[in-house]
Amino acid sequence: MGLVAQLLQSTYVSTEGAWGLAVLGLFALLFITLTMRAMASGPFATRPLAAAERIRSAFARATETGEEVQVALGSGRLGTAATPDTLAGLYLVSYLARRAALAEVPVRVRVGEATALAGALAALQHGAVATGYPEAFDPGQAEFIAPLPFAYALGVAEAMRRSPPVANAMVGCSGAEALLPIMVGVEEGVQQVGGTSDPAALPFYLGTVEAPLLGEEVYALGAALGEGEHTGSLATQDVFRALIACGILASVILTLLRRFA
Amino acid sequence: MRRVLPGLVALVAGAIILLDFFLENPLLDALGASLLEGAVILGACALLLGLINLLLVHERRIRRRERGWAMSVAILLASVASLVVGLVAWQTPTFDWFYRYLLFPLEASAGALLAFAIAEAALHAWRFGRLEGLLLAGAGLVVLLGSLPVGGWLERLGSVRDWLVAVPVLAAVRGLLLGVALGVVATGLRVLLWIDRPYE
Repeated sequence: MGLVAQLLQSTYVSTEGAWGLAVLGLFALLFITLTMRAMASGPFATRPLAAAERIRSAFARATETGEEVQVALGSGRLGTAATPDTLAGLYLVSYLARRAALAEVPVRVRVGEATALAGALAALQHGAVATGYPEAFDPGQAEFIAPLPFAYALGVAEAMRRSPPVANAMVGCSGAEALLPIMVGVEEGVQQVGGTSDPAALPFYLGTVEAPLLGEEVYALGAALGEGEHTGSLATQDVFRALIACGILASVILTLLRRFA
Repeated sequence: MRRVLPGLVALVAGAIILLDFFLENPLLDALGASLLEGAVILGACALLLGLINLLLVHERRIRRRERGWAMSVAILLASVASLVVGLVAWQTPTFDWFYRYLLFPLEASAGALLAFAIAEAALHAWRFGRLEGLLLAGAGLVVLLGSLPVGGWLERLGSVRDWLVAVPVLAAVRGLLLGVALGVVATGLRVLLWIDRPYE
């Protein structure tokens, strides 16, 4: 008790910090409530995501033809600001790995960062073990291309030209360099999905990828691929988005009223 | 236990870093700093895994004489050369030369290829008549031409460029960033509360 009291005594919270904690606490509370509800009484209805449909259809095609499906995770490092995007990509790897072992579809993951490689290897191995085919896991399924973004992009582009996959998913942390493998995919007629949360890199996906994931849609991929509990977090985001929109509208109206008063 | 322990470690470490971000406390500061330091060390160890993976994948490609195996030989030689330079010539002019005159120009050359890829992407969007692609190519052209340091009628495009960047682009980016911020918080909470384990 004494230690806790001592800790509290030596703790200082700024006004911004207190507001941040309060908003985060509210978000977490709503998130837990809605996620538990989604787990107990079924997932919330979500709008369909074109990228998820494309991934399913590409996987079905790969099951028939036995061709490779590629996931390019980008150069994002786990433990930095790139973590959420890389996790979204790893989720896709996990989703494919769980199905690939059963359907004997080769999944190739190409990464530009070593921590993401560790995550990809773990996801692939777990997928194979979970389906009862641990022998389906091959460490060569995940390839470390290069730690520099452009070298990575050229490496992925070269690999795609050498042996074009049936589908290419560019989900992870990539900048403008992602356009290099995407254009090779376009030339080779590869079915492509991909996206980023970086607004500066987003234009490179529009008009080139069949089903782009725009901004936050990258994080909604799990829910769209059928993870019921993920819909709880989507519902929380929707509630907060509505609150922010109401706040913006109210502040615009108040500013206008003050100007005309 | 093998599954519970990593989750617990992630939860405790994440909670400490999060609290350290919002609160000012000497103990939290010290704990947060050492955890971040530990993450950097783990990241460096993972690089070794990356190197081993690179060597194994390309060795297999050479052994099986797969298509493009000669490229794998070049990659293996280059990675071994980088390793030797890093180990032998650490903090020497040779090391500096290696990075300044070999690695960075190569990366910059690869970056220069992007201009051709952008032109190809614009052409692709134009050919397939996608509305978003066409709008994007049109807006990009206006911004590029409006930024040119030449006079005449092109100068008038400067004000169009300013309006494009300040009004529709900024509005779209702000909307996107708000959604992304909420998505990032939700993803973080999913991992912290162990609802989501994408590495499994």
